[in-house]
Amino acid sequence: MIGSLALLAILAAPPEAPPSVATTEDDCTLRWRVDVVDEDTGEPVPGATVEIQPSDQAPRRYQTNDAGTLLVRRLCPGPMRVSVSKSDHASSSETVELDMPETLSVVGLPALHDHHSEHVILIHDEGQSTVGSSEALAGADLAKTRGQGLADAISTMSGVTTLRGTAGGMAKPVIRGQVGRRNLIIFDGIRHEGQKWGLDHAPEIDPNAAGRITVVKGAATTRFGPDAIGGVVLVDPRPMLRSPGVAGEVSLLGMSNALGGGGAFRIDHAPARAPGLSWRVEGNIARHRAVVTPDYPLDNTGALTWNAGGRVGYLSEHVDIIAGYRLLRTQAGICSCLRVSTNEEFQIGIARSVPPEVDLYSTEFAIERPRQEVWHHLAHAHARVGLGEAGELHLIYAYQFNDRSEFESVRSNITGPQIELRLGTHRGELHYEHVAVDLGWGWALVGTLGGEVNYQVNAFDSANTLIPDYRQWSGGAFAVERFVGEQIEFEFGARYEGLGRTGLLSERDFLGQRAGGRLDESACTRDADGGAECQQQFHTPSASAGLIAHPSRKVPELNLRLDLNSSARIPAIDESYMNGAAPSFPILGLGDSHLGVERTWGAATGIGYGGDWLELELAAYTNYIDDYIYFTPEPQEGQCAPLSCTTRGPFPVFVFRPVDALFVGGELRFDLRAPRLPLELSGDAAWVRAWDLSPGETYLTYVPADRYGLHGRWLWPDTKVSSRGYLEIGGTFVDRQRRYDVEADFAEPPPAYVILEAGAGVEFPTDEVLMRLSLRGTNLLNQRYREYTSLLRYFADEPGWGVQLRFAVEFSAGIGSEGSST
Amino acid sequence: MHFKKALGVFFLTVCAATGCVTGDDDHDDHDHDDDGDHDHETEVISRVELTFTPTGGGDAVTAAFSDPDGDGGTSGTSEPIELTAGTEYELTITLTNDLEDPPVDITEEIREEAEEHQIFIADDALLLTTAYADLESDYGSNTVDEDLPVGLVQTVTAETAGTGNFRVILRHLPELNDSPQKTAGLEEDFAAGTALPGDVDVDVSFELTVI
Repeated sequence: MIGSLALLAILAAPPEAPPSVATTEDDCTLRWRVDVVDEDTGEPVPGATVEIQPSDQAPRRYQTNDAGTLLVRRLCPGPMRVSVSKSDHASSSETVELDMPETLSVVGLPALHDHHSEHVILIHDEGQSTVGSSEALAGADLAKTRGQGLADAISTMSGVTTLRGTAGGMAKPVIRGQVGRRNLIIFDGIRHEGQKWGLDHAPEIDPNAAGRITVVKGAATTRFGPDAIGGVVLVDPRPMLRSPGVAGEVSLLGMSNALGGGGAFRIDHAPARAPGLSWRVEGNIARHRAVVTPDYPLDNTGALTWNAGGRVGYLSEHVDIIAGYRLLRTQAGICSCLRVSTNEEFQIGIARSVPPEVDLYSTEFAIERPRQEVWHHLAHAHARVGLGEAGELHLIYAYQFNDRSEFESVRSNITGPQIELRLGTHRGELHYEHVAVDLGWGWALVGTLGGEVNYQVNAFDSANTLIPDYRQWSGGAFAVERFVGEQIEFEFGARYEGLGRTGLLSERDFLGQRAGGRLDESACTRDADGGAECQQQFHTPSASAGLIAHPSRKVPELNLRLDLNSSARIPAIDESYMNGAAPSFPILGLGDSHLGVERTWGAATGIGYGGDWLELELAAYTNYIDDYIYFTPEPQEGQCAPLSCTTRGPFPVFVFRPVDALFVGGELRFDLRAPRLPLELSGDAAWVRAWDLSPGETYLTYVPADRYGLHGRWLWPDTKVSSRGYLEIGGTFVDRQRRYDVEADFAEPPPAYVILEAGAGVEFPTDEVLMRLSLRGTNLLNQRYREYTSLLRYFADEPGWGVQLRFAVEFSAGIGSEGSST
Repeated sequence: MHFKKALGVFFLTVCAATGCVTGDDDHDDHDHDDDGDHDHETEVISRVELTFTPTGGGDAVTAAFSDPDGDGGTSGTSEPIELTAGTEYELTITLTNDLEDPPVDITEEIREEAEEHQIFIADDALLLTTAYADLESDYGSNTVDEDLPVGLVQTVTAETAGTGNFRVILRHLPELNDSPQKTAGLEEDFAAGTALPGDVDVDVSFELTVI
């Protein structure tokens, strides 16, 4: 779409204006006015960032007003580089020739969100219009993360960290201190379904497919469903071409640690001969060998990942129909340092801080046992139907099949996997966005109503018990309405969620769980094999109320937000029925089918300021969680008391237990731009405190430590061929987690650390092609450190220094009579 | 796997493209896949049996550790061992997976992979002397490194009367990056309390009385 980023300079000056030649101070009286519009709908884009660089002057930055317009005075004659960006749109760069007293430009930004009727106002879009706190990555910022996993790609956002597994490149996002089952990942409007209960099961999402990644921080259950307690990650692919043309992207990545590389491509095509038809094919592959810490390699952490996908659609003003299919494949070695040892050795290993057989470790590419292999299939169909003055209807059907195999280190006569998990999920969703209703006195009502239904079947296959087979139905209905006034908007949401689950327990599983008193036996029916079918049913409501205010007419860049919610989360399968050794750890984990709904009572507030030289976001929240389902150690009776005897040694037993918990936290993010100097300073900080409120208890485990980041950036001047060049250096300080419960963990938290990183990048734009080149160095001081929220911390260090080089070419061209390129 | 037949076509399309695993299509057939009643790749040891046969003749002493629910929440139990001071025994160790029906003899598998396994014994009250009474070459040709002990057969002499704890550890020591992890002297490292390489396949303890 680069060609269509055309910036139309329209002469709007009186004809008798004298042509300016000299550029003395007296000549610098010109004015430039720009209107920024959404190329798709033609609507104005308020809050777009406009960077201008008049010839021989430092770049300056402004924002468009509510009408999407900006006026800059006192400009000198000559060429001026202009780049316009907005987080949910592709950015645009062009040169404007200033030679008239007033020059008017119109910039059309291609949308990075789905097409919507102009009658509909989106409620849960990203940006300053949400009552909750959110942050998005798109364009050049997203391109800088290409080749990283989803969790790493978004970990630059304040309040977002990663829970790192022990396999190559695998991590789960942690949002506001919540991980796994308390976060929701939505890919292309479809809730991702994988084995999210496993701490070392990274989400099977391909970040290369994203045109934009948004993180909604804080509970958003009324709109997105249960599990959205910590936050929601919205991974949105680029919209398909709506007018005849060809567009695409080819990118290459090379990295030094872990040594490897990859490539990706995307092709979009909308043929001129078949108006409305649009299709896309995309794919990527990445391969790397084992990661290296400052002192030794993390043996067997090589990985291979590839993705392929395609979609085809018919797109028109009133109806869009899109169907597609994606496939993800991952093979990831698990660090040899992670092994089942005796309890004493586990403690020795922690004290020694170096794995015992480290001399044998290598950086080789081969992916040996132990390893994980995953296939993830996603077949989807979307429809958008415009209902004219009534609004718009969206329908989604999706089928996901998650096929996970885990290969442990076993005797060599065994060739297959030790654990196989296959999860199939059908999902249907219907939502209706009604048009803005004029309520009079300057108030309007906008909103969305919707419903969804899911059917899920899980098959677990292993010699030991862990998670039973199950099948479940779930469904929800919601309404989110917003009263929009001039300076204040109120939002109210409500949701009902129901779930019926049948756990299919084998005889050994059933007898073991019954003996432990953790099974609601009255809900179970024995079958002929001696096993049992155990039923669970949950019905629960959630509600939210929020407001966003622009308190001062004089400072429209300032906004205040407040959000109150009561959010229900239904216990996951492991919380109800886990019965076995947690993979990778010398503990036994036990669920409890008596557990009920976990309810969060949350309050969040935020202040945002988006001015010409300062952008600031400050957010604070508190969540009281009633019957928070917590995994805690429980003393056992028997020969190995307080542990439980197994053939692999005495293991501590952890059970899921309802406790009352309190989470309090905050985030700060700022971006400071020196007026008239090409320098930027950005910083972020995040704090979370989490308590187990049970008598005699203290802090919850795996809560991220305090984190502070500071980055300085020099923006080098645009040249005839390059733009948006930068040089950046920054550091992240992560404090030691001082608030922990040593009883509920295996080791004390690791010490505080500082890591240094640097990067440089530049873009080469032309009408139809945009090239991006960036170089990034991580952990440049080769600092040895361990991360509190990394499972690796019990066994080995985190990676040492490395550099990544990224090169991408985006191209687009209009074709036929309706070509969008100008 | 179970799928609605009406939606089966969609699923078949997906599988045709990728060759993913399919299974039965019937809701009412409870396939409790985790009950071990099929040919799955198992690695489980649920029973460890010790047989102490006096070398001078007499009745053998047996003791077993058993965890009949595998890694389930019910604790395993071990039987006490009672030996007579001044007696030399031949200890044989057998390992079984009796979660399967019929039970699988894991000892045989350990013999076949003798070069990757070693058993270590700890007697915390120092009532016994123990010595390996087998070598890798007893179970097949020794191809890697030295001919090291395995420990499925040991000579145990009860020296001093008293009570203590008898611990048996089976270590899986596969080659790592083409270098053997099973090397000479691991038993000394173990006795000295050094962390050993490899994984723990068995770590069970018995009450020991020497009279």
